[in-house]
Amino acid sequence: MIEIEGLVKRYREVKVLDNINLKINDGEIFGVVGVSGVGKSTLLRCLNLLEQWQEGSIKIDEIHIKNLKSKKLREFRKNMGMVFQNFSLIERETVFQNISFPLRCWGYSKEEIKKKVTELAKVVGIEDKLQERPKNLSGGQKQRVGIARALILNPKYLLCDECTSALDPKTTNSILELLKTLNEKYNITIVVVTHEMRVVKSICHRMAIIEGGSIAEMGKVEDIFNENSIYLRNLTGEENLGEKEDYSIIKIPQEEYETVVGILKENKINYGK
Amino acid sequence: MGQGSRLIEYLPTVIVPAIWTTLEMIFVSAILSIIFGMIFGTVLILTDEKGLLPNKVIHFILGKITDVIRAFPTMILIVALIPLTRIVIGTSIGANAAIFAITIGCTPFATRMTENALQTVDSDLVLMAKSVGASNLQIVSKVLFVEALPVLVSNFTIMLINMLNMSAMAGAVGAGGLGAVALTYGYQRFDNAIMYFVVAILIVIVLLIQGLAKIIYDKLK
Repeated sequence: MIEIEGLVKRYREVKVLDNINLKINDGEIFGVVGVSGVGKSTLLRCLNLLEQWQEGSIKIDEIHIKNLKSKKLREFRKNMGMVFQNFSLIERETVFQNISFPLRCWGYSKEEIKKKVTELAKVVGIEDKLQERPKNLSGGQKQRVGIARALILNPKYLLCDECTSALDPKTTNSILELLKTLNEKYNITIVVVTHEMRVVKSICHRMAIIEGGSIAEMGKVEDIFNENSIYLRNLTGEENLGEKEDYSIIKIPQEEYETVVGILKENKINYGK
Repeated sequence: MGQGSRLIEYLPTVIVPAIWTTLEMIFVSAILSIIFGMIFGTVLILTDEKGLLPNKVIHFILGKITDVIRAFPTMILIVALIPLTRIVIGTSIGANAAIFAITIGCTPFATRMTENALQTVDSDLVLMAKSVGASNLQIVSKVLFVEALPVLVSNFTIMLINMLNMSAMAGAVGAGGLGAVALTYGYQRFDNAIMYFVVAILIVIVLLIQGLAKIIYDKLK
């Protein structure tokens, strides 16, 4: 279980994370959503100590992680797989070498590496690409390599940092399907950081909306979407959340409407018939 | 005797040995400069403010030493190093003395070239390596140098050609090699044939280095 209490992270004078409190249960898929630059990736990086923080605590499986150092920190990170937005693959190495990177760092034997990589490549569906270089792969295939690499050390947690943001909708669906399967089949706890509402809607059990470095709303995904709170609407902009298209929430005061129409007419802008 | 015949006369006795001396000077000093440059360049990257082991003092001192040595004009550096060369090598004349001077002169260059190449590696790759529990040494050896290798080869090619230039200059102060031949047998004896022949050999060496580096770069990329 991940327990975050009163987490405060500052970059110089700016508070990037402000009093974050949340619990992520074992086996759940938890979504952290917010607009760009709101601190969600920073929060995710605090979970595997890629970032340090100034106040508050993070406990993972009852261990306070803040003061973990050297060997203990490295051991701890083995349990926290991470998937990156831009895949973070070593371009000069093959898919096999990329997936095996963590194993090579931890001194596994060649036989073990071959066995584990081959098995996992099948799970993520890239068994026929093992000798390819990343430049010859599609975005979706690259992310599958990234996921396989993150899973190769059998972590209990998988941290996904905008892992579908660089992918087209169809590929996004296939990656989400894969994450869902991994969660259900191997009971991996997944923390997904994203700004894409459909990602959260498709796979997350619970979610937290981050606004201005703080948690604005947290709860079950269906509850938050049903409530359609101001925070969710701020986040989605004009995105259609319900079954039907409903633009009733966009209300422009009559005065502003007249002004805008006036400007458009004055500049002879035709904005549709 | 005409100029052409002197060229033929000096070809086996002076020019060919000078080619080997030059190649020896470049080869040995390149290996030494690259080794030291890779070590110091890595230290610069590691101790950088955003590096894996930030250390302002080491970064500042090493950076400044690198810049100061690089600021010396080649010829002045070689001459200025003569007392130190005498202490270390025992003489300021000959190929070994030149190797020492060229290594000192090119190490800062190799240091910056290494630093520059390692900086081209995507910082997310370092985060990725950290996230799987890689040690700093593993990050340097299995990520930074692996990914930066083609750029390193490309950068060191520039340095090698610069070294050839330095070795020719070192020839003016007793290093021997092609530079010395061009100066003493060509320029000072008004023997243009020898001078331009040596220049032609230098051009061929440059083209060979460049061609070979291109093949290696393409294979690595």
